[in-house]
Amino acid sequence: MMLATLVALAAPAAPAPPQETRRDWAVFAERLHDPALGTLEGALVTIANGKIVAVVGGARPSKDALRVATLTPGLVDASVRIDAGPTSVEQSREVTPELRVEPTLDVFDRAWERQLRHGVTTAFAAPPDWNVVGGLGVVLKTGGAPSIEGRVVKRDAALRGAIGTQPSQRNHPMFGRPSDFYSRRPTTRMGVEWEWRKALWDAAASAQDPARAFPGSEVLVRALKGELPVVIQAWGTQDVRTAVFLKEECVREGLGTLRLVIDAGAEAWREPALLVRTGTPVVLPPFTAEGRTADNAFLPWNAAKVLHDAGVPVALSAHGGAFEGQLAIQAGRAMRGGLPFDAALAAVTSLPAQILGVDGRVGSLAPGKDADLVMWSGPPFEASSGVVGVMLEGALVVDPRPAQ
Amino acid sequence: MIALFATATLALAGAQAPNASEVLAVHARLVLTGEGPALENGTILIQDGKILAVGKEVRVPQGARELRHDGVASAGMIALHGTPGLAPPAQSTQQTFVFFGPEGHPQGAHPHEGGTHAEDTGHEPEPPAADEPGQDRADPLALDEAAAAAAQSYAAGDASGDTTRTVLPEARVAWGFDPAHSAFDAAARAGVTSLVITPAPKGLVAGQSAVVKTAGGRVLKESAQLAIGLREDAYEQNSFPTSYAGGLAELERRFAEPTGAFEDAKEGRIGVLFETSTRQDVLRAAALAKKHGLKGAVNGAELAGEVAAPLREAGLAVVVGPFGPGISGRALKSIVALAQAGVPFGFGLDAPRESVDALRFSAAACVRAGLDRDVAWSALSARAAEIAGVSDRVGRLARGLDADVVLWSGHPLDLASRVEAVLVDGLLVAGGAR
Repeated sequence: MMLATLVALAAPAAPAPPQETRRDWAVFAERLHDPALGTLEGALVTIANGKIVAVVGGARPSKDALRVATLTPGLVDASVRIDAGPTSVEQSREVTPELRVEPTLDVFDRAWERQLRHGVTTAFAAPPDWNVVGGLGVVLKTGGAPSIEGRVVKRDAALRGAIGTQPSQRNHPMFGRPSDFYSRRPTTRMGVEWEWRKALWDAAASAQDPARAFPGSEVLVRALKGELPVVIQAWGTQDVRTAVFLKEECVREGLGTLRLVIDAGAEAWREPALLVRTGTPVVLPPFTAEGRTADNAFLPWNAAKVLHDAGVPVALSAHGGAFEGQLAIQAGRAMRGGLPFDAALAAVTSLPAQILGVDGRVGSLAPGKDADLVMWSGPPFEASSGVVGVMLEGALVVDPRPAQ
Repeated sequence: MIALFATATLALAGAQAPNASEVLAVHARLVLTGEGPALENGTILIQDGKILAVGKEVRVPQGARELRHDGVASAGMIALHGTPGLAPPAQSTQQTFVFFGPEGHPQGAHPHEGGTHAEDTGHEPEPPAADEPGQDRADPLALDEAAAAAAQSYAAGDASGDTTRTVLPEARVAWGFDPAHSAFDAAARAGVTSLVITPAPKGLVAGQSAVVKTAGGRVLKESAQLAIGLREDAYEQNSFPTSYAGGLAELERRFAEPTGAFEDAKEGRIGVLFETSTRQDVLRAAALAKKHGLKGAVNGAELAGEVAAPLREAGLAVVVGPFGPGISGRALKSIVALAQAGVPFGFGLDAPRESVDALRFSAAACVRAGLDRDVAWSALSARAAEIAGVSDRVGRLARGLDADVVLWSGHPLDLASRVEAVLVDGLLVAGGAR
């Protein structure tokens, strides 16, 4: 007791413990789970300069290795929704494909660190859905460099927009004639859909006739050429259908082939055939206790299983939730709904990485990839297991070793 | 001593319209010149409103009026951010030009504004009581509320309170402030002889700040800085831009092919004042400044010192404060970190919302947190003048500069020290009545 008091008193004067700056490690895990390698017993991961050098199974723990119970790749959230709120999306126009979310993000937002501590090492940030075509999103690490710029994994990773009621919410004048752009803007689902369609048709026309170019038309042209994924928020069945039909219309009319991704597709499970037909992956929103989500969409516990069984690539997201809403818990809930462990692991690692085009760097533990690791106390995604350690590009940001 | 001093200053007070070539010699126990070490038993020679000489061995010409002060003499202080006559930020939606005190015509302001104001309020304003220096006028809080009310009732439909444009680069507060506002007089009497007055910190480009001599509210520099809003509240809910994305894209466009004030800023003819609140806002300012070669300062971010490295790299200065005793230790440390990183900084005043005493308190609190006292004093004087772009006129006691001199009972960063007299352009504007 006395000693503890003395230590407490001395603490402020004592120099801070040296920051762990190593980027070279040997990590031994009793069990390793990876979407590409499967499950390895007695895995030794060698890391040099922040990159993975080798992963071998059936190894013996070396004396200098960091020992943990379970290891997985760092988690990837394809819809992290950490932004500056309304100031992250320009609402004076409905279609702003040329604007980037990146300069609107706050590197000092504590939400990034919370994600990191819960095992999410890579995330896709996008303009929030208060207009129709919000702009360009960015894939970034949740920690590391002290600037957003320094954390970027892939700039302009996808064009982001929404279908449904959110872009038209609050656009009705309370009474009288419309007086500002909130009442000029779409007030219905069909109005939102029209904005998308007009933007895509006008962009296709601008590709033929440069005189018809408009701000951001070049971004839409890239999307029509399939060079840029188009992530569309669509919670309800009708909005999922609208997005898919839009893609099919573009193909039919010769405008181009969108690389469509449905985000927050709570009711995508009602239309798996449409999604398979068009090769459209789905990012599910976080599960809720009663299944109710936005836009009156119903998300059952087995939504991920139904989509997975139908052959739809499905990723999970926590929408920036921490604590009980964290991404690992979403994987556990999807498993509770019947999704096999391997699919659940892929849904929070390799699959979102593929969707965002960053699977060359993150999402699995192959040599040459970033050393982003999550260390668990037991089987991942089980309610009884927790994240005990996190490594980001070889830097041990959460140390699994008991305090000295 | 005080009696002697009082006699001398009273005699001076009678010399408000002095003989043009009369020389005044101020002898003080300690002279803070603002360059090099303080002078013990120094002398300041003043003629025609300018400083002729400063030193320990200055030869006083025959016939000069001499003033002996058993205390400290320094240059007048310079506050970097003030909005006298503006409504508080919560209510001032682009009241950029409405610099009204409650006491009447904004002298020197646009004639239209003064006239309309008098009609609107429906009473004949009292003339400003400029002939009663030592006397407090009214509760500053009450003044502020009245100003806010005046600005609010005045705003609707009036040409001076622009509510439709978020980019007003050519607007200048120098054209529309109230020189008779009591905040100026209060500042002068407290030893703050120059004040940077700024457009309300709203809007993407709110206009241009000005440097004003607080005594009489005379404009020292009409176009000091271009004010750029990077705070969240620079973005409107119902007009472009509503977002950082839109706002930054607009600024990129303006600086890519700059004209007018944007060109002046890019060419370094005027500074830029970035209105910020968070560290990320500061990083945005630093990136913008670096990209377009802008020079200037960031204001409003309490923790700017935690991102000192990018600020130094961008060559930006910082306006800190004002704050009261509630300031956090972390915020104070961040100011000390600015000094350690070599980022220049000065203190804002945000008059009349903040009492003028907050200025000295802010600097003294920084000293308590470990800031070097000379650096703190420089931030109130010489360094502040550099940041405001007026170091060729004010901020130090040196030959050729304006004779803005404050006579203190002790060191100005000792909060127990009193202002005993204030000279501006060589004329007594406060003190001597005690």
